[in-house]
Amino acid sequence: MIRYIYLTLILSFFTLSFADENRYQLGKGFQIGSLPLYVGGYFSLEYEHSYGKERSLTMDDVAVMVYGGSGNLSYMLELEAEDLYNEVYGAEEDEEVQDHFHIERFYVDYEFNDRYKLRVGKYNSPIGFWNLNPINVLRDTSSSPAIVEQLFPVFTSGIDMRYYLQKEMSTTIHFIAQENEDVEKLINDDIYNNFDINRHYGVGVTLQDAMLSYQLNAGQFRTVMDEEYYYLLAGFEYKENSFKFQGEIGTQFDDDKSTIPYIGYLQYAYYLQEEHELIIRVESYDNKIEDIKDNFVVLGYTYRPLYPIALKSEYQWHSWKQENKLQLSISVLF
Amino acid sequence: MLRVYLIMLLLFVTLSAEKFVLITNRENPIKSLNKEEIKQIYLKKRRFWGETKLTTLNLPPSSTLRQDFERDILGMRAKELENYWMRQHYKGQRPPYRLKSPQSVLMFVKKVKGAIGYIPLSLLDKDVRVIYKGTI
Repeated sequence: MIRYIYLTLILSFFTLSFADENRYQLGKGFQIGSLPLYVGGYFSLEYEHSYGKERSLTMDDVAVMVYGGSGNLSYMLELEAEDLYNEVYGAEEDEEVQDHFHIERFYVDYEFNDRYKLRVGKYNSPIGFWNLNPINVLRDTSSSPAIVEQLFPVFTSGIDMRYYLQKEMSTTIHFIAQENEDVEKLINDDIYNNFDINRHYGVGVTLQDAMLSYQLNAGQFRTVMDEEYYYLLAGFEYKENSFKFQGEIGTQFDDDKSTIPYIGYLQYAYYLQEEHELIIRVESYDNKIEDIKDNFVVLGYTYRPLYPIALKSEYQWHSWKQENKLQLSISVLF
Repeated sequence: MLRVYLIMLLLFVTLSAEKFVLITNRENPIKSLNKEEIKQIYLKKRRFWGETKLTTLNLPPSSTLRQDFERDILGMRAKELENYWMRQHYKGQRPPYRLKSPQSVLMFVKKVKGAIGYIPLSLLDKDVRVIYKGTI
């Protein structure tokens, strides 16, 4: 099976790479004829060595995107096979292959004018900085900060009303609402989201100029097990040509108690040259539900021979048990 | 003598600087733009002007006018822009339409209400509206 996966990916990659330069450029997708229909995708292959535990090789995030638009309308469909292939070295059942795709994103946008846009469907929740560029090839490091996985649902199936105003700083406000089960339920019971939710309401404000961004989010969600949580998140990002400095902090609680009293990170990314990036990230959180309190440092190096191809390595030092690990990955946007 | 050389040099630089104009269709409600607004529009962070959908136009990457426009008006190097559009590809956004020549840009702008493009000042005619004048 794994041979066919590799063969398909390699053939697709080379076919597209050697296609007519005017029609295809790696990392930008390609248009089907002259239709408002563009096709692209991405994949990543990750190796993880957790000390005191096991080593694993995972073909993660193999996805196909189809999108386009005309007039005020546009659409996006993204199907993804998460952990398409996973091999754990030293384990009894050492190879696992997922044979179906998830609906990662499936939405329609209607842009009323320069201020208002309505999105309906399943989309990346517009919360924080990392969740808007959530795929390996676009991230600074192979791993995302813990705040992304623990604080809020990364996907919302509902509506997103966006308000945008350009003055000295641009202001973007999102109102998101979900009062139904995940769109994935239409085809599959295996939900692709970090929380299996049937309700999510949230509001987010982003202020941004050329170098500085501020972000504030608040929301409430309910899982299919009738557990209700509230979250708050605040973040900032400062960018210059040679570096980027950012941080986010959040908290989560239910009606009775604090479930995540604090979770956050500070990250400094330094661009040695255009292709080379050094990253240091310090994270800390206290998750009462999982009963984990952890402080850790992530040191990463990313090399991009071309922007849509990323070779990444990172090492994590954890204070919680033996969670230290090495992660290596190659990821491609096509 | 040195003063004469300096004046001549200044005159040469002034005369050799290329003048360009950012133009749009006469029916487009945009009257004028500043650099920040041009940047927002060319990066497609702003895709409408009121109710009018905007269509941004580019010249080929080898065009010196495009290179200068991207550097001086958008404030971004070609590679930065490439990277930006790859990130936008994930979000379902495409870069501006690419046309072969400034003449094609002029023709397109005359026909499409929301079209915006840059051409050398020497090509300007009265059938389009100038929304930004620049020297690069």
